[in-house]
Amino acid sequence: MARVELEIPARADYLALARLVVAAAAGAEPRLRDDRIDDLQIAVSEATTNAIEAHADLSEDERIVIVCDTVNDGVQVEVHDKGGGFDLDAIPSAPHHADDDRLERESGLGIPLIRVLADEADIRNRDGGTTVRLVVYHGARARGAGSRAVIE
Amino acid sequence: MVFSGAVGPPSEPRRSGTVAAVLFDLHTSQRDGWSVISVIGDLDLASAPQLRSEVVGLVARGVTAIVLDLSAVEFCDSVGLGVLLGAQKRLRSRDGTVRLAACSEPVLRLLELTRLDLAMPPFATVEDALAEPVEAGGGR
Repeated sequence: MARVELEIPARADYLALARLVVAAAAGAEPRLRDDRIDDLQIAVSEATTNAIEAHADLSEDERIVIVCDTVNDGVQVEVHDKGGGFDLDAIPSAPHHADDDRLERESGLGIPLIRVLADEADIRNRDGGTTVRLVVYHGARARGAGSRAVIE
Repeated sequence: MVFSGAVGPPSEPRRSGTVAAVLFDLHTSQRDGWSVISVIGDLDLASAPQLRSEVVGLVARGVTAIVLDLSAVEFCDSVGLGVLLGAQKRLRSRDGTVRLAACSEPVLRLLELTRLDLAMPPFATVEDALAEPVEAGGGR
């Protein structure tokens, strides 16, 4: 798989394009299962949504950059934005699924979903912006087919 | 290989021919006293406001029973899920009912990942959702 870099305006109507490009790029890796590509699409959608929202106060000229590349035994996607950055540790965990509060919160599941769907995920603040890095593996480090990690 | 989104849709939020316009649509019908909203395409930050607006509009017109036909949803993320939750909250606050029906695999996957399938158990078909008696005071 060749390295693919996509630069998009921070607008919600470009989310579908971002998912399509990432899915196509990841699909070029024949060892990556279809269900893992689906998981990667959701994770990228979550990260790019956060990036779009982080750009709310910025100029329309500021772009979000999405880079898709191979790593050892997997595919890595990075989503770069120029928003103000955030403190990952300050993000509250999702309420337990048996907690009524999970029903009350219409948002806040994006980061927990990223953590569950990607084999590796980290979020770094840099130069006034944020980079979300996601990796899904196809080799020995891949999550087993049919496994169902969930947000407890 | 570098793609740049320098050329994009104009300022209108959804124009014929854009990716977003092609990927999402809503059809609302009336059946057996229920409003059935058929959701078509990708449910995300771009399309969620349209679904939210449809639910809000129905409630404002006095609708208290909604079935969301999600059989044609091809993608759903947490923003899409949030609209479904918001619809449930809105209807319950008015002693109304909203039911998820015929959920596509992407929707089921997300409900299972978030364990919200326990709190919002989906109906297998729209017919099942329409046939199930409503609990007193709204709810499922």
